[in-house]
Amino acid sequence: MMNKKIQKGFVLLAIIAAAMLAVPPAQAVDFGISGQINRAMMYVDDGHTGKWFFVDNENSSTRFRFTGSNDFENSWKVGIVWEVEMQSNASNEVSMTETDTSGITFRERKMEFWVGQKYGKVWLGQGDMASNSTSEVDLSGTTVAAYSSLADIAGDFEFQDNGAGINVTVGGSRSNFDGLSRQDRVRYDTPTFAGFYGSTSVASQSRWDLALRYAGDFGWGKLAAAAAYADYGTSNDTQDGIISSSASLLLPMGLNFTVSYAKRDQDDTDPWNLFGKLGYQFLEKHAASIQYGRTENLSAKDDKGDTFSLAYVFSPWKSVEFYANYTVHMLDRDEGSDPDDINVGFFGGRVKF
Amino acid sequence: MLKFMPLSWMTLLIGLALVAILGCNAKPFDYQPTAGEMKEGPGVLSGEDGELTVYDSKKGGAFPKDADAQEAGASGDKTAQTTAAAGTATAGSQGKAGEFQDFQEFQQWQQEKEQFHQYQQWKKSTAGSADFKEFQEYQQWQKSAKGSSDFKDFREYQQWKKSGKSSADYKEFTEWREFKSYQEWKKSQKK
Repeated sequence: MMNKKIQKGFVLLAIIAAAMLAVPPAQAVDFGISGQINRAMMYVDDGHTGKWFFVDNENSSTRFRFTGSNDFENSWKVGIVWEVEMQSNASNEVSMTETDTSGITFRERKMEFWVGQKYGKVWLGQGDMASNSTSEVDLSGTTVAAYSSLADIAGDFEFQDNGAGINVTVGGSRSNFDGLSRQDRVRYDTPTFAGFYGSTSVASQSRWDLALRYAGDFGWGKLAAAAAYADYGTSNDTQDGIISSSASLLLPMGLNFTVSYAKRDQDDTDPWNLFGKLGYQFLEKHAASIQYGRTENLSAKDDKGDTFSLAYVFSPWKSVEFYANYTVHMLDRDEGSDPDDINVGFFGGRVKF
Repeated sequence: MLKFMPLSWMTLLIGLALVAILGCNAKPFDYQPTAGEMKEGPGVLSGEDGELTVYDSKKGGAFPKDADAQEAGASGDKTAQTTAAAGTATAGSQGKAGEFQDFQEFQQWQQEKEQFHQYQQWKKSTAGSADFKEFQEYQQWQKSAKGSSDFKDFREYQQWKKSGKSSADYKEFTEWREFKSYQEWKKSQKK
């Protein structure tokens, strides 16, 4: 059942659409709908049990989106983004005890408007905080199958030791600490200067962040990078802030390199994550990658959550992708014996409509 | 705040990276995050724009954007339908649409003016003029009744021209043409 916020969103959207339709044609208005379906088959073996699951790929969930914009005099531009994800059996929510999650989850992702001019862009509403996605810059072309958010696939599975759960899940032992995610906030983006632009945003409970992004084409390769500092304000008693960063280089021959580093300032533990990816894009429609990530101190002090993945994406048509992924989630505990690895096979497709 | 950041070396590293990047004179490109985000590009229903346009003031109705309409005009059933829809929507304002197309072309010319001037310079140069002559020949060949748009065919045509009419192949070809004419004549006799 839709929550009140989403119902309000529908009303707001209808008002905005009506307003846009009423604007004289000379002011360049457009209003469009797009979306995607991203479904996969997932086989998980936790060392004790092996099962098939039919899931929605959390790497890039099933969703739809309304966008609209309107040009005004003196280069002013105003737009809206309203994006909702609709998942049945999200790949990070199923587990051995919950093979089918109850009902469909209908979550807001973005409900915002923006006002832009040559001096930058201001956003108001639910949307990306400035620091969101600064751990996830990736030019590999395989992000639909695997990227730095390692727990998006099989994130809710519990590690097993001699057939007994140890109360630590994949998602509870690894993270890319990707800033403050999406929140109800106000955000400002500067204009781009020589490929650089900065952003800042503020949300309730004194949460704020700062980010710097870069994208440049050197001729011999394309480089994209981002870094951010995010502060939890008063929203969390034990966590103070996060630094997050990532960079990706794509060479014309298709070879690409991606790295990501992030650290959370947290009482006693200060968990951090380091991630690396080597990829190759070939024959226009194919992309493959191998990646490794380690998170330390998240499930407990000195715990090490390692993840290794192989990914392949085939795009026979621009609107359609098929992918395969093999992932091993490992956990090295500081105390007690190490649990069994969790092996995951992941096969699916994403179709944009 | 920021107490866990080793600011000294981080500032130095960021500073060095900025200087290096700015010094390399790279061209900015529009990086759109893909991780966790919706797929960019075309859609199976929405066409090249990847977005089903509910309203576009440039055309005044509910139909795909320009790119779709142009692509539709090129080929396919879907495109035929799109063009028909666009035609219906703009039926009452063809004059305005023509005017707007002129304006769009003018905007495109403004954007590509520099590139066009470079092309003019290239045409005047020695290498350019030779290439341009070949291009003109190709255009001429395309306009001819037997021409096709396939550049491979054009290359074969050039080779054939170079071989000269005195070659053995050409002689056989003339004989074959006589033979074809003879067959046509025989057919007309039977009727």
